[in-house]
Amino acid sequence: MGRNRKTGKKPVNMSPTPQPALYRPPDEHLCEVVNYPVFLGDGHSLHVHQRLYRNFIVWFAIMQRFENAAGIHDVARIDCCHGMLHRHVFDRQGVDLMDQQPIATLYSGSESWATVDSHFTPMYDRMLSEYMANHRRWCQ
Amino acid sequence: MNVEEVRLHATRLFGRLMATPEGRHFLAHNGFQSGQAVIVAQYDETIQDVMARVHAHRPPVTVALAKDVDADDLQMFEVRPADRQALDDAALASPQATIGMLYEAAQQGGGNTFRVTEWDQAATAVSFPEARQLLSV
Repeated sequence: MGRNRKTGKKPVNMSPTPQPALYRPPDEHLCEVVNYPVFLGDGHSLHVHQRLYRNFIVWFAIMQRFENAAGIHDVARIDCCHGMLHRHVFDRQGVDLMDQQPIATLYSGSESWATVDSHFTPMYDRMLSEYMANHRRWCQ
Repeated sequence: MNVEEVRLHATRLFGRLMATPEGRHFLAHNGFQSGQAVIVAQYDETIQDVMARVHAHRPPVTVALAKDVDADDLQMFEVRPADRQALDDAALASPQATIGMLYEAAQQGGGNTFRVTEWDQAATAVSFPEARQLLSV
């Protein structure tokens, strides 16, 4: 493209800047899927889903649940769906009080599996450090 | 009701094992399968209380114990139904004994079948002592 005849300036580039693609884990059928519920007593439990690929945790969801006479309730969840590591905290009606609070955006790339894998332990520990606060919020 | 901090700690240590290929291999090598329930308990809980929680789930069930929140020391064993012969030979465990004592017995025996008195069912407890080594790395 040529310069502006009057001003001699280059034209402004109006084309959209390409965004890096969001992370997508390998297809589930290619992964080893590991689920484990951990029961802490008095109705409290943590349910973990991991997809493993080439020794990496390439997708995970960590859910805090509470069981009482009325049933089993989701209290909180951290997962990496839709290329975004995010957190949900629910109330008794199942409303997400955090509206999928973003923690980190995950992009495709050569390091993406290692990146997701490296997020697992901090997120698992975070869920446990916030465990009772999540439960108290759910009880309100 | 609050969750005891030591149970949260045991949960944290179990997750640390599941976060690494070495930890996952260790658990799989010891028979842990996807979907298997994990019961976290305190070392000084009675066998009766812990077994009541274990029996709410389909066997086998992994029991994970932590003694205190300051040590990265996770003690685990698996509880699974025993066969008829094992039931006859099973050691009797008092329901008032602690689950920690049962762990110690399982560790020494390498696979200890026990039957809690006043209960019909027996269970085999197999300890995973090597978990300590993985978590201490």
